Amino acid sequence: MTLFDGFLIKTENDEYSTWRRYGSLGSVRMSQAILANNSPAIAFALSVLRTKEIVALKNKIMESYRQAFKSPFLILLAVPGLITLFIFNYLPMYGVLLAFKDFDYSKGIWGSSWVGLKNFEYFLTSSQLFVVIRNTLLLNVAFIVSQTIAALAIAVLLNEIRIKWFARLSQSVIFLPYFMSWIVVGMITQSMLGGQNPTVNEWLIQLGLSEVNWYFEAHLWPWILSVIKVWHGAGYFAIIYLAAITSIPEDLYEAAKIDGASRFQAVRKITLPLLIPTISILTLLLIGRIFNGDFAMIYAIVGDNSLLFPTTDVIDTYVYRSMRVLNDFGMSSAVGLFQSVMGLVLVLAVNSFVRRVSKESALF
Amino acid sequence: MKKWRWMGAVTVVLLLAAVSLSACSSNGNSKPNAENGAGTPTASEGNAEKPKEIVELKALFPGDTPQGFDEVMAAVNEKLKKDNIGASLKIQFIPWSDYGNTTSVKIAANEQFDMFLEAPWLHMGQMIASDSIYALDEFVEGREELKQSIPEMMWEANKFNGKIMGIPLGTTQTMVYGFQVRKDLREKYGLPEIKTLDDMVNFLYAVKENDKDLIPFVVDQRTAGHNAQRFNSLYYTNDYDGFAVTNEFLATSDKKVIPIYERPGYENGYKYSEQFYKDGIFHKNIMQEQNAATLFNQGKAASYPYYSDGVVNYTDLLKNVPGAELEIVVPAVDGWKPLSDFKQWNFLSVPKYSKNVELVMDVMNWLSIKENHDLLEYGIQGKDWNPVGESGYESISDYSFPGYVMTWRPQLARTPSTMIADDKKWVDFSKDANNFSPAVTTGFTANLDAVKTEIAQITPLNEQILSPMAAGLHKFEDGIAKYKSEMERAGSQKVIEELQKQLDAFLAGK
Repeated sequence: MTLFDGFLIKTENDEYSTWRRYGSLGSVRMSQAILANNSPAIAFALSVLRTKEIVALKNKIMESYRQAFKSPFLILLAVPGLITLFIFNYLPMYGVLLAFKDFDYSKGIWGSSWVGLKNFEYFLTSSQLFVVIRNTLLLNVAFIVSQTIAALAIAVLLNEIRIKWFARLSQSVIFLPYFMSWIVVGMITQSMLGGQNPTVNEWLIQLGLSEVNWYFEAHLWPWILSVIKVWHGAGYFAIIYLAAITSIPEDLYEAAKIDGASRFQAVRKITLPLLIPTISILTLLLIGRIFNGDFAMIYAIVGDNSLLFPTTDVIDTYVYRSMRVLNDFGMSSAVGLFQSVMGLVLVLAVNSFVRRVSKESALF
Repeated sequence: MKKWRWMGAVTVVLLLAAVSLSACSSNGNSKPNAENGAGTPTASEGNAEKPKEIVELKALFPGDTPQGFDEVMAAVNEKLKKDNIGASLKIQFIPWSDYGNTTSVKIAANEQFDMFLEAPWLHMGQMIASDSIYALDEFVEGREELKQSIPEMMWEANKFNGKIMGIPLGTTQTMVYGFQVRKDLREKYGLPEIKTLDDMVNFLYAVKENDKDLIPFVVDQRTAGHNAQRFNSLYYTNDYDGFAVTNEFLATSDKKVIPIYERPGYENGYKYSEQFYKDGIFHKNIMQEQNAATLFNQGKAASYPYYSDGVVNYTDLLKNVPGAELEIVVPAVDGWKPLSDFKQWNFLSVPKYSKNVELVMDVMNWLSIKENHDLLEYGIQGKDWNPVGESGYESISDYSFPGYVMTWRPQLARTPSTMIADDKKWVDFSKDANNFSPAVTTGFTANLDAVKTEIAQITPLNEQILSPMAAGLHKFEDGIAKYKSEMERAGSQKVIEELQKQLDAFLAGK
């Protein structure tokens, strides 16, 4: 028995709820740490919780402190993480000032002159504002939904494989695209859909279907990009879900089996419901970055092909093109800040909605 | 027991964290000392007969490190030592995608380095405005080799606010646009030599008619925008007025700043594009084409854009496609004297934080001597290249130094032995400042600070509207109407007024 287990059992009397609280979340917290680029957002959100909740939270925290003193090494373990978090996530926030400065290399961030909201002007008055915000949001929603569904399906299916080496092999193979650079993915896409004779068109012809001029059809691209995104990233999320599934106690399934449940029923009634907190938290974390278009992906795949801009031009690619001549730090930081603030607002809104439905599934 | 094991683990983790953190901070502290450079002899070198102390000069350039670079660098440093310049070179290449940011961040962070590639398309304007780079006038003076290797007009025209802010790097004054044409095909169709743009268009349609599988004119999406100028018959005459102040605004010979679409004959090129796209002279997926050069070199296209930049990109065509012959067509009138502001794209600048500006200029002077120039630009003679005649060279290894970052000099550049005579004619034409008429903007650089918001909204319109229009995908009338209204909405009038004000002030002070 590891120290962790002891810690958990002491915390709560009801073993099952302990597991529910920490068992499944343990892996999530870990993934959270990986994903969380918005920990400042969480910190800020914590500070605006309502008083009643703060009191409850305080009690909870006091309880945690009491526990912490019983096992101080756990706290020590967190120290390196906290230090890196502070250095890499909090200290650089000083750079937010750039958004309000006419940045000058020689004067540095502090020495440059203040310009108020001038840096925000170009983006917020741009004729493309609506289009790029809409594209960013819709594409990210499409990515989140498709990736989550695909990752869940993969995780559940992988969990059903009983031959161990095969499960591991498939897991690795599905995970592999995640390590592929977007530039490479862009080239693969180009050879599948572009060039003089796109590979996919040859397939279509063999199937007796008519050819498609892929790089002209803007309306197809949200779907194409979603497919690519799923291919690229679903394996990564599947592993997180798989970890969460493994932490569901085997006895639940045994009990279900005794009651005569089929495998499919077990998945539907046990696995999926118990995964909901994980799904919800991962989704909330992704929503925090919903205003950030995936520049590396979209620029590598779409590039400067303006025929596809109506559906694929996101905030980040638009800003990139705007800044080609000016290379202005202040103006690009302003857009970055705008994205972060909008992301934070959305996370808070969605989180409060989730809390109302199910406290367990909320981020805070 | 268990508890102790945990404590051990925790201690290790903490120790590691502490060590890595302290390593970080001590690195940060020691850096300036280690790289303060001036006067610190490099241990491995030095100690020849009465040698100067050798200072290592650090250079930052964009791109990938050339193959076999270490050997050439060793030879360069050896020669520097032999000639007792008192410096050695350490060149670091930074990938293109990061170069702009890396250099500006390094400058903002006062990091020590001695020279770098700077350019108006990078952040030269900001660097000058913020006084981050040296004015080199006094250092150029008296360094004769350097001064002589660049024509007077080029020095003069590449000053910023009257000062040399970087050594202008270039081999030509202004690139001339034209066409690379498959001569064998033209002769096969029985067409006479191409002298005018109309002849060129006839050729393109002849290809379409006779060789259904060939693309008459292939061009990359990235450069499709140049079609507007390349297919503008006025460009090849002396009536093509207006020279670019920024991408979107021109200054005419009567000293007026106008948006590009007000230039007489602006529609000519776009009209051709529209027609060419419809008629299949351009191929269908021009908007995502990235391999135009390959297609042309494989013999799958009959013509390809030409720029008089001295780059030979047709060797594979002549080698691999049986019967392929090439001619360069610039369908210009006799006595053509295109406008030029003699401005170069690239500059070698010295950051204010470098303490070695004199030495940097010594090295640049040294690099302006033919022998040394050839060593860095073409590699080790006999191993990387062989001279061909007085001004040609034959490359025999894969070494290729991006000369535009440091070594390009119009008077010293050799032409590759693979360059065909037609090409050499136009490259030589472009090298000579006397072949161009000076634009009113010669020596003028616009400062866009006051109109940043407007420029940021105007810049993306290029890819969004002009580029597909130049590829022939949109009707000119629709596209240009949209472009005009978007430009006006973004505040083009304010930009014009600002640029006009700056240009007037510049011309008044001339």
